[in-house]
Amino acid sequence: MLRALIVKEWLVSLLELRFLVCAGLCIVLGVISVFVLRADLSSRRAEFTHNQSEYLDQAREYGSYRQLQRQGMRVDRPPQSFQVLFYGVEKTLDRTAVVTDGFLPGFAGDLNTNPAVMLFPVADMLFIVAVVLSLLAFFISYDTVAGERETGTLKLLLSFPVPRDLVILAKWIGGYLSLALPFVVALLVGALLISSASDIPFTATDWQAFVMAAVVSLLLLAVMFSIGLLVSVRARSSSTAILTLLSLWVLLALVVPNVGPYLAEVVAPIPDVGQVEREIGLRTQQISDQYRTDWSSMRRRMRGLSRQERSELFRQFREQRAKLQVEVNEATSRVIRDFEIQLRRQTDIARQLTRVSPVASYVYASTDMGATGVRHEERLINSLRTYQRQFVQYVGEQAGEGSGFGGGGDEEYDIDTLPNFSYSAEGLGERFESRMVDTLLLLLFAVAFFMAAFVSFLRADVT
Amino acid sequence: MFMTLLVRELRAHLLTYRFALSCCLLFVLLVGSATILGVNYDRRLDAFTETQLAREQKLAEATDFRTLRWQGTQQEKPPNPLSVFTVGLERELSRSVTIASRDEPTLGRSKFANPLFVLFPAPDFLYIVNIIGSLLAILFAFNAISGDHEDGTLRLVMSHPVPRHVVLLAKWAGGYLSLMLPLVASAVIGLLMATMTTSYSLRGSDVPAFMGMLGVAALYLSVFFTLALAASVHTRRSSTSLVVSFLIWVVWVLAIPNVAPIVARAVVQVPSAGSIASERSAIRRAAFSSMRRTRGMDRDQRDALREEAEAKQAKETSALMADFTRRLQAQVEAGTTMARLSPSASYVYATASLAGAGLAEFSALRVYIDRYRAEFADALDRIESDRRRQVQGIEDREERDEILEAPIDPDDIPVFSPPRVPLAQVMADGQTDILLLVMLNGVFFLIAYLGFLRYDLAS
Repeated sequence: MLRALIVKEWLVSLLELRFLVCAGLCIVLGVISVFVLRADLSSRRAEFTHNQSEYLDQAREYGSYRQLQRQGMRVDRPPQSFQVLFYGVEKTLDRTAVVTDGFLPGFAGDLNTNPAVMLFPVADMLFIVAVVLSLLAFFISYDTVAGERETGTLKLLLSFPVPRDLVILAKWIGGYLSLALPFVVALLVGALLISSASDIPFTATDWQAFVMAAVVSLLLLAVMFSIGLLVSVRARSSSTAILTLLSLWVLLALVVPNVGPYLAEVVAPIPDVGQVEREIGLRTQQISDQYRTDWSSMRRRMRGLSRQERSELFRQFREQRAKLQVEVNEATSRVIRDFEIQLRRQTDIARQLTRVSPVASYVYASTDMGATGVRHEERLINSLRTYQRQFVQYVGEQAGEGSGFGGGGDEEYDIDTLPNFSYSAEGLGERFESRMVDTLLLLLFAVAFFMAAFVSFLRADVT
Repeated sequence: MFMTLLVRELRAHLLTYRFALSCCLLFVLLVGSATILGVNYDRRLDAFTETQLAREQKLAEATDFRTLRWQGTQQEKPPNPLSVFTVGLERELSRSVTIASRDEPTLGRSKFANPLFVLFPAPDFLYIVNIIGSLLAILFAFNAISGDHEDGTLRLVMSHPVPRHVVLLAKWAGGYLSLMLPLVASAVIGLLMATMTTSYSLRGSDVPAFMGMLGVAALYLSVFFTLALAASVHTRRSSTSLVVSFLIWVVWVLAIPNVAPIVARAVVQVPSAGSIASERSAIRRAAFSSMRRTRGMDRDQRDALREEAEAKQAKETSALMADFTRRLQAQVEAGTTMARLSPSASYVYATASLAGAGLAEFSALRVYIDRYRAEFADALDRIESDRRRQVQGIEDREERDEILEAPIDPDDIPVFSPPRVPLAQVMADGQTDILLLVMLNGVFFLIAYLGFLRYDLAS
């Protein structure tokens, strides 16, 4: 019985123009998006490798470890394989960091970039699911019950000895399949496109994340479809249903997630970035002031000293400077860390506030599972700092005692053994664990809305 | 006759659930967004003022020209009041810039520090009109003709002695007005709300720019309204008309503008940051290679050589950067041209430049920073030569140092104020976009009109 009903639902939707349009849109948009982002990713990757070797060449030209320490080593944001599906925070224009022995590095912006990308959201799989498909889910579900009631077929159907629970279940399954199947097709074609590109290294972990993200996407579609079904059961006419659903879509997919960070600014204010930059500036000025006074006093004391005494004095001076640098580094690190802790809290609050919308939960879950989300950003910064420690240690060891008054080059300057910046994405287990709440919320939403639709339909007046 | 029909249309619209719902939605969204973004603007304005004060204080207390030359100055653009309605590129434009005479200018962290800001676009007027407004426009028009045809009122209307074009025009005007009135009203209330709850206010050229933004929005929404009207003329059933308009809407609003800049980035290549940096250092090395054989020269000869090398470096670097900027501009333009296949892109580009947060503003800022850097270096040179003149003839070293190392008067440092691209220029640049929108309006109205003239009422 259930099967017959599902087949009926499925056939009905297959015959409709609406279904064809939705399926076509879903597949075409999905394929175009993966295709374009694949090209984008491979040019990003090429740029990244190219830049890395250029930066290394530049570092070789410095000619001395002290110069290397001062000028620093440039590091680019490593492109993430998953940005082919979920662009996430990789959209940022902050792409290059300079790692020196100074304060904590971060990726910084550049004026010599193309800002056009920032005017629109990127049409990645995330956008397609969260915005387009969630709208299509409403578009497919709005008249499943309301429409049949208007045309009278619902009355006819219920005059047969079919239990209502089977009818609504069949409506859910049939309608959901007509939405989910095109999406699965789009995903499969996307997967094919990704695996056929030789320069996109999708590892086993990435594929597992892909499957997980696909499941979460299907969950979101289930939530949206259930909401649509509920409204369709309760609405008096299908036109009321579609209008109500459109307003809901606007709120859930377009407004609530976007308002989150602005509201969080009010609820959990953090100091302005300018203030943080000012504090750091103050600390770094301290060191340069001290350096200047020390340097001029030393020059005065050096007059009339022998060569050996001079170099002893110079050594002392350098030690003092190194100590001061360490102090200042600690102080600036504290400023930055404090800021980052507050920022993290604000981000968490923004997430809590926006979780009323399943779309927001979906965005958090899928970007973090694809390692292109907020957690990825934090992890990236942390590994940049680990790299800074390695860099400082390496330069310190290589420069050793050194000699001379700076300026000149090191005779044995060789940075072939300089550690490379490496970033590895979070383990799959951790990713899943961190986004457990969001996934469960989606599941809960799906079940709750389906139950509501179910119960409403059982009590519905079909006449 | 027209007026009677118009009033009838307006009345019919006012009574619908659709009208009530869209009124509520537009009101809540536009007023809410202006309020929230107004609060955000207020915070940024406070922070900006504080930064400004702190900079001046620091200069006046403890900075002599040597330190300033060494450390450079950190400057930023005041927050843009129109960003309450159109954020556009404000998140990039509002970053601080550190300008030193020796190093390249560097950008500071984004003032929108929360990473969630990158994940979601700002819910501003631009966004609401671009996505939600256009969708509502379709909802208001998709059954204008086909709906009346379905329930038979169209036949009834046509049985009266009214020309068809008047009927169509009344349909257009009635539906369009009932969409635009709540939208404009909500936008204005939003403006008032932001003005009342925060220290926000629109001044000077911001007012015409705001009006311009409303005008472009009206033009843009009319495109979608006319599109849906044309669809409703050419289809027999309103559900078909809805599906067709909706399909075009998705492709235009959600697909083309979002894909185009990324396609452009992949297709039109520009040299990477790494290549530019290494070419710059190659230029520097080549220019200064003559400085290696300076042994045995006297000071004047060496200085002349250095000046020559510096001039050569500056010339070649600026040629390199000019070439790079040209190619970058070509990439940007390829993306915008491609995106203009969709009226949504035209709308966003035009509105963002009206708000002073568009692509033109970004390149203008780049040019301005270069100019400011030169002005800053000149100001420092002037201060230095002034001080040196003052200490001439003073023998006592400490006294000399005191004068040389005295703090700088903040007024001697040029004010960092990137000029807004003037409105006339914005209008000239936005001509293409506005023309495109007008053209699309014309084309769709013509399609609707021709279709309606031949409309078969009987079937």
